[in-house]
Amino acid sequence: MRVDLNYIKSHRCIENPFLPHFLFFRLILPLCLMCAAGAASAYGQPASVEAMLIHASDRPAPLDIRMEKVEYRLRRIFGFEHYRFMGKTSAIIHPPAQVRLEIHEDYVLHINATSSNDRVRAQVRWMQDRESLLSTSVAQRRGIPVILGGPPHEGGTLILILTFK
Amino acid sequence: MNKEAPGNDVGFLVDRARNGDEEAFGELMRMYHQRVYSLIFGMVHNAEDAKDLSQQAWIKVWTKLDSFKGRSGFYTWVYRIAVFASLDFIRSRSRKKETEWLEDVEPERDLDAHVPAGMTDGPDRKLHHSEIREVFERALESLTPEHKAILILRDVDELSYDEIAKVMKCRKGTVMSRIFYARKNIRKSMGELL
Amino acid sequence: MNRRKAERWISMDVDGELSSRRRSRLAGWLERHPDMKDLQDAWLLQKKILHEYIPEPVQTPEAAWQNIRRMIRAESAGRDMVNNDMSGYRFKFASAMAVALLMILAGIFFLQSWALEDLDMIAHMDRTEVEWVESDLPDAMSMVYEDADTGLTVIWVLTAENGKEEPDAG
Repeated sequence: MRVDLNYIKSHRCIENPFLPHFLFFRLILPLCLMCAAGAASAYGQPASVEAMLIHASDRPAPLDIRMEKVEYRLRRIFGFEHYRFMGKTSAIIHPPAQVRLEIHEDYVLHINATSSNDRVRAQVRWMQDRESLLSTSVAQRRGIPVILGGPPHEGGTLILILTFK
Repeated sequence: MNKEAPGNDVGFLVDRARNGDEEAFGELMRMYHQRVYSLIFGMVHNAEDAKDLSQQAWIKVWTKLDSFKGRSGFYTWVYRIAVFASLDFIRSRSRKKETEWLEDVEPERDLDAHVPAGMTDGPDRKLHHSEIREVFERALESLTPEHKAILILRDVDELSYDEIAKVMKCRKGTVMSRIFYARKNIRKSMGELL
Repeated sequence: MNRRKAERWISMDVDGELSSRRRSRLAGWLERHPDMKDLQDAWLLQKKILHEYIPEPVQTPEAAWQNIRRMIRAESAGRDMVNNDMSGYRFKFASAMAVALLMILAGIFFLQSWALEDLDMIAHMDRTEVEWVESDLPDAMSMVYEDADTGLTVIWVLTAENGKEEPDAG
């Protein structure tokens, strides 16, 4: 389609005094609102965080029904024979926000969630006393767990399953 | 257990089926129907799913008959098709559940209240058949699909380690170790019941 | 013989896969370790329970066969129909397919760079992104990998103490 600039000029479209209002209400304001809503949704969607602490070793562990759904999956990933439930904790966060979660009596998780939409971006510090066992920064899709592990414990290893929802 | 029919019956039926003889294929299917169903049921723990999957497996056997070279036994080949159909089914089912695995774990649950009946009462307690079945089913369910398949091929179909290795396309040592760990895990899960 | 080895041999014995020489060695060992006989009994019982656990098929072989035959015939009929319908158009169809294939190949050739990036992006959609990993544990090293079986991301610290217990990466 050819645009006739002379026609536009002759009909004073550009000089139309209502045009700035039109542009503002119909275009700029909705765009600003959409951007603001987008930004708010990116940063403000609440997320729940769940963490489960497990001790993996080759020493026999007592039968624990809480490990029923977890144990065989972990056995598929790691070479350990036995997995012992040590604790579970959860919280709701409204990014950007920080949360401190105690898990088992010796361990603390510091989670600094910076944004959340379909993914939650967070820095996680897994502490024992003042020592950081493992610190990381992850962008995790809601509902998909990430597995942290490796710190030695009683002849085995600690495993932390972290999920944002 | 005699896994293959006597003489060259199976080979003869396979040849006829390969040439499009439905009745010969029907004979083969009737011959192995129960074993294929048992194997699949042991892996999926559901009668309807097992029925559907064994039908699918047989249709696959029919459509792939041309590719059966006869290097392994016919039953080995059929079992392989059934095992891999079940593994695919279990994987697709578990992918759906992959994100739900922590949801049922409650931090404050009283452990004893959730230990299956019979496990806290000592070995003398007489258990109902259904209770044993339930606990056993849970123990079997806790195994990986591959461990389950191998255990069933061994304990139900009574295949040798070599035959299982052919069905599962793995080494004999892997078969041995998977059977061992499957048994150990079932025993651990069943506690005093075993 | 240690207990672990004995357990493995018991499992093989239950399956009838132990040589006679090993079986007699195991029998001698079990004489000296009667507590391990329970294990043998338990595994034999387990076998029996597994047998009983598997029910009879919900369909008789005959009923199952009738169903399967129906499906096989439906599938064959469908295939024949497609073959008959296609016979007249086979040449045109083959030509069209060849042209389409050429166009696809040309498309892939020209769009390769961004298309590959796009596919990679889709593949990464569900993955956890890990920006960095640190640990105060002495001499710790970190590794990040995706478990091939479950697809889950594993962030692992390796220390001198747990170095031997490295997970099965992959």
